[in-house]
Amino acid sequence: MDDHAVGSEGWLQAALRQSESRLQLALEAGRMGTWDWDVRTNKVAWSPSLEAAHGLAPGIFPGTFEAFQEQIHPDDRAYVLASIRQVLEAGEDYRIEYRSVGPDGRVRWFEARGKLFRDEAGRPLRMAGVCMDITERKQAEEEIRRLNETLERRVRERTAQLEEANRELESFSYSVSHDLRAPLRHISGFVDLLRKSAAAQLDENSRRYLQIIQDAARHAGNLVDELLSFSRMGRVELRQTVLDMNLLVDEVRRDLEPETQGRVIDWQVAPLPKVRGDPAMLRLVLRNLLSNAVKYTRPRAQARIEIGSREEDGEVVFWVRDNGVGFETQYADKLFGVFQRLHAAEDFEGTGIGLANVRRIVHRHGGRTWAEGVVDGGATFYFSLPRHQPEEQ
Amino acid sequence: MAELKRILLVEDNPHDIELTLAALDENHLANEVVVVRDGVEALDYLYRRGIFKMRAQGNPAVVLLDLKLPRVDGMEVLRQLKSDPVLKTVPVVMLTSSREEQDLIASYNLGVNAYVVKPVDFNGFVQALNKLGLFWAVINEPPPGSIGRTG
Repeated sequence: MDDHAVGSEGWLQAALRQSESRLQLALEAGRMGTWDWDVRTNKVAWSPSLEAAHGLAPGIFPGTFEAFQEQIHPDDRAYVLASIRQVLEAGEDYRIEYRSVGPDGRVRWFEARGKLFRDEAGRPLRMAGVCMDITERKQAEEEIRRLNETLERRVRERTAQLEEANRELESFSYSVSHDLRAPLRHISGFVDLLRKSAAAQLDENSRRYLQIIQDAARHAGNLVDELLSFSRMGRVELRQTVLDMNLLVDEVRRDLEPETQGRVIDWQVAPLPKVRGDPAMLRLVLRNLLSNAVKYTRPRAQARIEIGSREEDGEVVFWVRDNGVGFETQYADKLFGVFQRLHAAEDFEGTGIGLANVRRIVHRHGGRTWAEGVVDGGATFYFSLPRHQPEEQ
Repeated sequence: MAELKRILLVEDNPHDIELTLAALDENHLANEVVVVRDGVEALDYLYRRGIFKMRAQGNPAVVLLDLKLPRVDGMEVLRQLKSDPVLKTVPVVMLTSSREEQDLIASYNLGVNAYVVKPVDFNGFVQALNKLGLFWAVINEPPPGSIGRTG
């Protein structure tokens, strides 16, 4: 019986040792260890794996609270002790991150978790828990922080560059506005003075030359103004509201009255949906398209201008169709470029900026522009805008 | 006919000076136009100092002020005039090539009395100066202390 009992006990002890050594292996693999501090005797017990995690040979750790303090990085010592004191005074759970300096001088990060046990009177008895090496996690965190900082610095630098470029653009258009207009004004002014002072001596041809200079200066002035408005159109903020497109069409038609006077124009305006957009800018879009339609139907005894819309997946497509002189469809895309014109200036006046403005405004609203034409068979200009969802309001 | 009043033209560009005088002449607004070429001269004239130390007392009925000027620019001249307890009553009209919003806002914030963009077209320029000259030098009653036509 005794033999059997002894044998059974031996088996239990062997099993326990095996289990402990497995735990030890697992702790070592995780660079973790257990600790146990007897508050009354000030003894601190570290598992061999915790010694290994600190770079100490097994059994080297002296096993006192003071020896534990020695392991803590001098800069972290005060707050570790303060948080231990806090737990001793009023708490139960202990959790802290701190640095430790090993005998090899290596700095490691540790995270310790533990619990405080008290006697019946509430006096602290012992504190025990686990401690693990979190250096890699800390390094990864540090790396992320560093990358974020680099990224933020790059964003700041890039933003500063863009702001600088914007300022340069501002001062460029300012110079254009002021410095380019002045010489044009001088050409126009002095040609006029010359015409007045020398009118009697000039023959018809000379007077025509002066008129050409005068007209060219005025045209260049218009170009400067329209280029400026084009550049401004790309810079100003969109002020979006819900717009009644039919009202906008009516307003633009009223604006165009000086140009439509004495003309026979059959306006066909369909009911149009409401859209979300910048009123001043979309008004400019309609103004450009309608004044083009009025202009290019001038040779027609009976002009017809049609304005309609259709809704298709997520967007509203508007069109302005006329029975004017039209254009070759292969050049349709060129029409929307700056200074692109398909008609001779002596037939149809213009600076070639209107449709570029239309495209820029529509793009800024998230829409598209395109056109179809037939030589001598009229033109249709399309623009789309994202569909307005009434529940947004 | 109403008494014609003195105009102070602050303009550095000789072509613009000539065109402005020609346009005023075209409108038979033969005012006594005093021309100064930069912001320092303009302030010297108005404060009667420097080369204008000896000039007779009295303020112009209107100052036609260009924005871009050598030494002290038009905006600074306007700022100094409108923050002076006495000179702030002198009407100032910006007469400039710039139609930039920032210049308009800054000018009105400083208390400019009018802002006119010089038209590129000379006929438009003549008309603008006709209206300007007629309004400020003839129709408008300037603040006390302005100078009438000398001689």
